[in-house]
Amino acid sequence: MGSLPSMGDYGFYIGASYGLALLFMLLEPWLLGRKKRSVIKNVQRFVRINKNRHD
Amino acid sequence: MRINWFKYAAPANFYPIAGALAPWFIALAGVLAIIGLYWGFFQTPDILTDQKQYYRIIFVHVASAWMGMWLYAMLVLWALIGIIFNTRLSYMFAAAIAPTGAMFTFLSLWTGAFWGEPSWGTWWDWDPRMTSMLILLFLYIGYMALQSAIDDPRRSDKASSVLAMVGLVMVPVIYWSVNCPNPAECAALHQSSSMEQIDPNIRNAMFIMVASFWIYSFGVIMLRIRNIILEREKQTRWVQELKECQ
Repeated sequence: MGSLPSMGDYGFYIGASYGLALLFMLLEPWLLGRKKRSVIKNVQRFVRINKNRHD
Repeated sequence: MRINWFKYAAPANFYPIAGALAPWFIALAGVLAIIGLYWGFFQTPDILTDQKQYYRIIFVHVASAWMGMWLYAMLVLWALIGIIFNTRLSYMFAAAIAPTGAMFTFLSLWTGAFWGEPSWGTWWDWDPRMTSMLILLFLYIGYMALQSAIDDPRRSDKASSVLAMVGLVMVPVIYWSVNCPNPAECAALHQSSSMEQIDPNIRNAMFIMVASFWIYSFGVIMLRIRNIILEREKQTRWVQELKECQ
């Protein structure tokens, strides 16, 4: 398996470590963005229900 | 000039600040990570004492382990401030820190396993440092589980804060698990800190990665706290009048 010279024969160990870190650190802000959209929808639904109740 | 800090303890005042800061923190963290990784992979020796290239896991392993511990201390600090001053935002901060802290603690265990295998010939050992980090991960999970198990946010905040404070005892245990006064009494596989003996290039790259992880944490905590504020304050007029909620 070819690897960067700075990894020597240990590309699997180094790749698995940095790979998961990268995955987590890209996934976390993306998931938070998705969550925000769902929270905003919840707020809008809450406002709509309350408005209907008052009307 | 005196700053009225309590003004920013109001979720309505903090929400826009968090939104403005988050992208800058995340961008800066990305830049620092690129610099740290370049320095760590291309400006450092191939061998660190008896370890070959796999020692380069140090840049993600040490940074994530430190973040796991420091974020827990931060979580407890905010929980304590919440209990003392009864400020809602403090509890929200504590709740926003927990998932990121758990992520870094898991990452430190994962990267430790991938470092341990080529280095010690084992993925896992019930060594004091590894075991105490595993307990820290369970504490994070316990904190989050307790928070979501109680519907009333005020009650869940108080209960989980007490749990977090009790768990703070783990942080010095983790530190002393490899830095005990008499090393002969520590049956540790994990080596003790040896920051002063390390090559300056390795140390500098590691500190840049630590800074990157810190700033990344600030960024995602800001993003998460905005979600928590919206969820908990949805009955307030200021949330309902937000442009993004229209």
